[in-house]
Amino acid sequence: MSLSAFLLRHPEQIHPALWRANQLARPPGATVPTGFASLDQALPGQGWPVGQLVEILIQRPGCGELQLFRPALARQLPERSIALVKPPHPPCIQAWAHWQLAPERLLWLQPTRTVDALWATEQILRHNSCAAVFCWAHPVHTTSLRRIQLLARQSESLCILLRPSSVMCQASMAVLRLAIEPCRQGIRLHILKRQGAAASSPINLELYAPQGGALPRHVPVGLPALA
Amino acid sequence: MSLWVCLRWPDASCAGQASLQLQHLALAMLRYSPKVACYRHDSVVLEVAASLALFGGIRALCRRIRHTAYKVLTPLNLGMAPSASGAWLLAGSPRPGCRRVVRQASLVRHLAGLPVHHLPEARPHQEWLDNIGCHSLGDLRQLPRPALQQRSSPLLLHSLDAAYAQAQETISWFLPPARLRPACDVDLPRLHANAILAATQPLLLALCGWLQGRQEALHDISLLIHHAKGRDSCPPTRVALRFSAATWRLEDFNRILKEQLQHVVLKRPAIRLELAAGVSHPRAPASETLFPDPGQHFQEEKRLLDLLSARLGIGSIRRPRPRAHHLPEQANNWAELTTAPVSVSVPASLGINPRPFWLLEEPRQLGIHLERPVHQGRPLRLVQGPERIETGWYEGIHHRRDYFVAEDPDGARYWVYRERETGDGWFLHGLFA
Repeated sequence: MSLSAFLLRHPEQIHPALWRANQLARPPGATVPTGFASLDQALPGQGWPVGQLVEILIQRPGCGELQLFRPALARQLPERSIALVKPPHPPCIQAWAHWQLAPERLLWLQPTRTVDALWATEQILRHNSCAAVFCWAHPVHTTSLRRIQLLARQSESLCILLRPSSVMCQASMAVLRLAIEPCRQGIRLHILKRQGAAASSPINLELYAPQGGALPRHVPVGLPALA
Repeated sequence: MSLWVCLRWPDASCAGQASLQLQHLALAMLRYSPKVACYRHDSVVLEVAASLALFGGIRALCRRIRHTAYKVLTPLNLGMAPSASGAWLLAGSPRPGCRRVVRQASLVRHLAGLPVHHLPEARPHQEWLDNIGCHSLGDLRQLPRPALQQRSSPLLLHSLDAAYAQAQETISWFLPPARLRPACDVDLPRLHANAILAATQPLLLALCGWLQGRQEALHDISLLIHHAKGRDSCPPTRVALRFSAATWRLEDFNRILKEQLQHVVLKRPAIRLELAAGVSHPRAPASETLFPDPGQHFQEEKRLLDLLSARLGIGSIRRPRPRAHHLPEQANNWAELTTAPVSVSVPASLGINPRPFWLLEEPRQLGIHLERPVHQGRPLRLVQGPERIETGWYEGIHHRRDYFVAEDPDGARYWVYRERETGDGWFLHGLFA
């Protein structure tokens, strides 16, 4: 095989930003492994992109949208906070502790207006002090999306925007767009947009232990003692 | 070798009225050099030879000084020379291109062209000097020194030598006051937040210079906006700025003040602005490590939280404060942001059973169909449980609940309970996110 034919088959050898339409791109920044092998294989860079806007489209709150990020959050720096901006319901500290994540990392922002929620997200990204920021703002204007994406690129945070699945047909600046829906034992995940070939089939992730036989038992872990 | 910068009023007539503004200017200049002095009632001089490397050279330093001075006062003339008196004379020079010199030779050349009456000590003898054909400082310097001293005052010769950097000059340095409460009169008929922010800049600059001069930092300051007196006079509006980490930087003050001013509603025009600084503390020394400090994140986070609380209000920012309680809604306690660090720990006995990440504020009653709970028209299937929680009898409200993890036909999971105290009602209490 001649050199030019080799380069045409592997355009990433010419420049990291080049890829063939049936390949996955190599993202320029760092990624965090998702903790799910099947999802890792479907994502460019084998994980959640750090310093990029990721959009998650959900039908309604409470379909496993945060458990999807649980392994990735456990791998982030333990001293940096995780911000929840305008969540739809009060977050439960005990659930977080049950996931073996430190509760003192949580920061719950509940602004009354969507504008303030987007502003707060921008400031969090600008200060680059949080390991991850989850924002539940809706509706989001395209200019706001663009601003958040630009600020996310200058930060080292996981930036997750959770939006209702009704905005699926709208264009978005996010480099990664996923739609999730609940299914038996876990969630079904549709990759709507990624840097690479279009994903054809949904990915099923198992979040809960299967039924039948022994009931799922969680091993008590060494949590901090009663204050 | 010393190098002096002089900031001088362009118009000598209005110089007398503004000694307070001159003090603000001197305070603001403390950020560039500790050697600052108010000079001849119409200017501020500072010795900058030691500051050149820190601020990136002569041109960059002059640009910054000019920028700061412009924010404090109207445009001032900037002169630079190896002597304080020379810098002052050059700042008053009618030719703007000849106001900055660094070397002794150029100082001599530039001063030689100045009219003799620019030197205040020469003014009493000006008529006599004119008559003998001595019009410029260069002419004056060429006169025989013993004869000049005999016919005029010794002061003239000494000030001439001081201007040419050939004699020591006594300068009384400006000392920052022990307490500072900078204030200025303004005329702001339109109540616009940006206008107030711009009018506060001189005061903030003075405060920052004061903090820099004393190497101190602040936790809180407040801006008092005084209103016009009259029949419907009202007390001054107070805008309080709080910082979780003590700060002395202008950017920090400005960021928080900008957000705080968005909330301020002024009923009457402002006539006077006043800054009241809280108790200042000695500054913590900066980290000298080469690699990024893990504490850097804490510093950035404190700045972020200050900014967020300035705009969103302190009640919108919450941190976990779990309680040791069996009732889930009591255990899941969130508290407002406080500056004091509180250790957060979840009691181990409550961390064993699964909990939903979304805990509804109020449990929602569910319908029942064929003895099964129904949520949004779809029957729920119990997949895990029960977890019995009985508590509250000692507080007068007896809760007897059996919690289950339920699943709808789609597979979404819910946390539901059956109330055993009041009957067979099913309630939705959480969503597994």
